[in-house]
Amino acid sequence: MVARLLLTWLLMLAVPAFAAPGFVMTTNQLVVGESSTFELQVTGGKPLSVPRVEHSDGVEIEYLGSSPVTIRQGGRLLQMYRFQFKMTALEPGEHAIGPATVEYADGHDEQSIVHTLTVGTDKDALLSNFEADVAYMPEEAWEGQVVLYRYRLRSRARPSRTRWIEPEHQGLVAPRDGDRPRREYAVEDAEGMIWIDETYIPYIITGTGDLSLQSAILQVWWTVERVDPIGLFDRTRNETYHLGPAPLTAKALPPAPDAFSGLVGDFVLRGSFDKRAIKVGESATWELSLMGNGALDGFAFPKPEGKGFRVYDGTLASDAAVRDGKYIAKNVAQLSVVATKAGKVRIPPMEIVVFSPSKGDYVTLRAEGTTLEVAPGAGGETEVESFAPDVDETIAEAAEAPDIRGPWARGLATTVWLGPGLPWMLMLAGAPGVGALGLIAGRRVKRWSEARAKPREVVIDPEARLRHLPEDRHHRLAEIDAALREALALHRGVEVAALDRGTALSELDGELAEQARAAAAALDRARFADGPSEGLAERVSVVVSRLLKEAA
Amino acid sequence: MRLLPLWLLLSACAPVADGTEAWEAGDPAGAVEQWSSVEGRPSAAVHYNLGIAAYRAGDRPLALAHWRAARRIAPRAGDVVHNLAHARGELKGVSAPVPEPTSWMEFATPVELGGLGALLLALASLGLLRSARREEGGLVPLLGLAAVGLVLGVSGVQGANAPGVLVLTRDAVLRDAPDATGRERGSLGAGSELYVEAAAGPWVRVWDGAERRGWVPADSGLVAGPVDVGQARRVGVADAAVPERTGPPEPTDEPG
Repeated sequence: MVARLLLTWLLMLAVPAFAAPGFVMTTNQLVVGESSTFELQVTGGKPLSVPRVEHSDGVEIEYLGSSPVTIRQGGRLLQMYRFQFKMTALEPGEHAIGPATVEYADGHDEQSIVHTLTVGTDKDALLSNFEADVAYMPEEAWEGQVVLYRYRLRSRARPSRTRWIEPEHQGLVAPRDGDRPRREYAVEDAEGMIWIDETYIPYIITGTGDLSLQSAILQVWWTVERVDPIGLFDRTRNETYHLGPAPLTAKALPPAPDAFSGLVGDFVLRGSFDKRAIKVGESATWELSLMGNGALDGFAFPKPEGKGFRVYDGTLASDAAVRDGKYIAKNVAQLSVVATKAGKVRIPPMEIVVFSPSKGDYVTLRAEGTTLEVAPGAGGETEVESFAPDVDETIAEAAEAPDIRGPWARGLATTVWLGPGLPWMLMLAGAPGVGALGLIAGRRVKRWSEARAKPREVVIDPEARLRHLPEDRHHRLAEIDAALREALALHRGVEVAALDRGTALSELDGELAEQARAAAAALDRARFADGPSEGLAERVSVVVSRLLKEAA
Repeated sequence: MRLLPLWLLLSACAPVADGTEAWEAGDPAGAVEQWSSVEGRPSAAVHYNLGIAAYRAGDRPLALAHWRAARRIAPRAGDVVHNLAHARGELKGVSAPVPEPTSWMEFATPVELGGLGALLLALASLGLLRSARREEGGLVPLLGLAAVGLVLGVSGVQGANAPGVLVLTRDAVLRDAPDATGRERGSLGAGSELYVEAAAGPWVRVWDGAERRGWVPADSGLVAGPVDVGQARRVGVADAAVPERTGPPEPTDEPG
């Protein structure tokens, strides 16, 4: 549940990234017959109609509905239109979904990018209600290549909780960059929903030979009995499964050329200059980006050398992540190329030798250099001795520092380690508070006990009883009788329970006695001989008032 | 008699000042002798200065051990952080150093955090005592203050008892069992900084903070931390290296 909420939240966060129509897919993998949903998010304006989604014949697309939402983007409120679709896999293979064409009310239209859906045929994999597997992707790789260790659970019933105990990987190390994306989602086939929980972990191969893992352990908590709506106190059954093996064979790299950069993966290198005409002493920025499915930990672009220029390191950003079951690493650098003499200065191309797993051989990536038109500087044509790009002052200071920093001349020679005393300090600090709390709690308990022990005062108010008579005849007459009894008891100064009504009535004098006896007789006739009850409450009320008046 | 506290303070500072004076005068042996003359737990200044001596003597792992120990005592000292980064950059073939066990230890010591927790707890206690005496209400803010103090205090206690970091002073083989016949899981270079997790006789189990975990001999490194772990030795003043000469005087910085 938490993971689902988190995923939803992440999707919501990802929403503002789309300016053009964008797909948000639940999954990019299905087997034949399975269905899943996806969403097309439109923020460019109000669409005229439902966007048209192109797709391959191997997939069936069904429009489910749409909903407008308001989002905040860059401090502005935007209207987003979310169109939900259902996709059903019909044939195995790689199928394109998109582009989606959105026609807007102002007449223009926009297209989304194309998403690829992979449809498999392993329908029999889920013959039972539960299936789990672990695998390296790919199962055969080269030394230095990044492989993904995937563990996946597919289940007809939704597990309450899962826990994977990953074995120790031999001959593999985790790259510095790269998260462990865990995805939980559901797909649907003719027999119902299938819950999928999968995690991809990137590893760099450091060994060679058979690096297969024999087993991984999966613990699943299945819900046996639902106790509460949110599942906090459900009764669950815990089962442990041993999965595997996960085969992996690592091949040693062939003898490397001298210029080999140490990178293993299929990479793309791109470069561009921000300007081609500068003065002596000025710099042009050479932006280089290297992106691919291999690890770029610790990689730094080489600095070309030549006449008439110098190259300095600039800002560098590196990132890696697992997206849609693929490891993608990216390294972007902005090299500062400083011209040191006037004229045409040729910057040689950037060449990086990497090993390409898909080709099984070393390849040279190349980003073209350029020819800079360099004009004399403000002070004439002079050689530039040194140059440093604008960097943080503390970094510059550290870079200039020739060595470690020197010894301290001041400071105590010994230190008193108070660590073992910390628990005592806390106890001393907290003890008065605990005592005070005990005192406060004791007082409150005492007050509560006293309040409970105090006898409850019974308030006798016959007039109030007569003001709140029930509708039901039987209870109404009983209440009138009780009011009369209470009034007589108060008049005589005795407990109600100890009152003998007949004696009390016979001891009354004068007009009040007649009124009271007549009312009591009418009341008895009404209660026990089914006599009339109209006006009885008023008669008794008069008697009660007089009795209370005399008693007062 | 009135100058006694001042005299005590100067005496307590003397080894650091005298050692640094000798160092700047080009007498590294005298400097190390002064810094090593400390009895009891060495301060951050002594660890820091002994680290410089070890670095100058070419013993990078020992320098790292001293500087990590200094960092535990004085986490906000910029010089220590600078020298650690400098020395780490020169080491080849070692994995990334493990950070402190908890992130707050990068800027506060366990005693500082625990002390702050105790102070808040004491304030809350006084407030509760006053409430109890005057039979006042308003307990919720005081209980909140006490809870914050308790959390900080417990964090400090946990940090104080956290195992130190083992800095390997020589190359070591990582094994899957505390035994010389245990299966090899790889090798670790001198200067590797690893969490110490457990001890078994002359072996300690270490973890590089990522994927590698296993056993190494306890005498293959020094623990930079306040807690003893099995037979692994904590870095102290006995672990000193004397450079041949100090070269030109270096700028003297104040503890940061």
